Amino acid sequence: MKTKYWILLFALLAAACLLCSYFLFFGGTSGTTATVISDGVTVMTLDLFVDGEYTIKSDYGENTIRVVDGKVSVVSADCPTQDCVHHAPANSGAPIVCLPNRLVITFSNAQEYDAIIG
Amino acid sequence: MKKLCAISLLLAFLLCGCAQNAPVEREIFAMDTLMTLRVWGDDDDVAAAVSEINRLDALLSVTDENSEIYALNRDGTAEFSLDTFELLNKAVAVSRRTDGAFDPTVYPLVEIWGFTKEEQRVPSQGEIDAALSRVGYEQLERELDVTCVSMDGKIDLGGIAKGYAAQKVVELLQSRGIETAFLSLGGNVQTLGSKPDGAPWLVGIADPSAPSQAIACLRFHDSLALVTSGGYQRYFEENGVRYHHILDPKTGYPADSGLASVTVLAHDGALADGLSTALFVMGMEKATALWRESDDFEAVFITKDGAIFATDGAASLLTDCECTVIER
Repeated sequence: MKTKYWILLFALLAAACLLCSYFLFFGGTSGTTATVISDGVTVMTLDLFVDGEYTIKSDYGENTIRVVDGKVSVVSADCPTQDCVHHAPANSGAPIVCLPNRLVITFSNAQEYDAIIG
Repeated sequence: MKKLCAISLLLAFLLCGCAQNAPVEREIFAMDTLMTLRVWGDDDDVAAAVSEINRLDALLSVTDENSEIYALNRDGTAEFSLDTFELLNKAVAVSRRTDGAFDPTVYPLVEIWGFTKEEQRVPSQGEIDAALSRVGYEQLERELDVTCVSMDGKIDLGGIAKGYAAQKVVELLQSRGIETAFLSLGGNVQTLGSKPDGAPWLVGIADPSAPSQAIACLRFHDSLALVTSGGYQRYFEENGVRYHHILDPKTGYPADSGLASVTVLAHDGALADGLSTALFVMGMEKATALWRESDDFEAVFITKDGAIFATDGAASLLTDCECTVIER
């Protein structure tokens, strides 16, 4: 009987390990998507392999986002500072942020770092 | 059957252990920036941290009409709470150490360049001279014997408030029994403790020529504050010339010290924040001299041509890059 329990324990642990491995390798993202968050709410997930142009409107303002050649950029914004428009087209790393319009574009493969400062 | 129960309990315990290793994460807009809070605690701990940030923002904001700083700038006199008073003293201390390269009284200059407004423009030399006559931390220093301050100039704590807020949040979380947290308040990062799984904190330093990418990585355990100041963070262009937002309190123009960014590492968040601005304005030579006579910070300098220099303490944490080590 003892052996039976050990087999059961081993089987359960093996299953748990497989489950963990699945989430570790596939639970993250492949680095080909960007998430568009407007005032704290996810409004769109962009496939960076698909070119397109999208306008995001919120109570705070309007931004136009473009996906070309696997990178995202903000091509226009009705905000005063234009920091987001100055941001070079990106597909990874630190998020693109438009503070006045409360728009954030994050990248699925940014998890390598806890943060990028600058 | 008992053994089966024991096994189930063991597995449940292991899985719960995994769950407790996951932080509670929250993103908020405050202090004119995007902040990310990761706290290895519960929702109440994160809510308390958010409340603390909002409380400090309400005291220290230069644009909120109800803030203590706004009152001073509007009326020329204000009664400060202990937090504002403490931060003003920290700000003046950084000014004194850096011979005014960081100066909380720089606001008249910030105003004429329009960095807090919608319209950014290059002011005339006359406007700059007039603003410069109202800039100087010494007048604030003289007033700071008491919490009621009167002065002719105007104050902007934007170059130090986020670092102070991060420090205060860490202290608050510690008082609630939290051992691990990671705060990213705009360009400011503050860590508390080590990750429960023993992995190091990995903080990338933005590449000034492509800020969404990291040019170097700082790898460390334990509690630390890291702040980057760079001319690429906010700027405007006029007649083909780029003007960034870090103003030299001595010249009244955007600092032109040959540096693209400075990252400061320290245990005190406000010190790291204030010094990052100051060292950027001072340039590498003067900044390095200040570091040699100090023992409470380390720094990473990225020059305009992309070269990386690091003080020896910072260099020991740097990975994924080639850097020149500055020896003490």
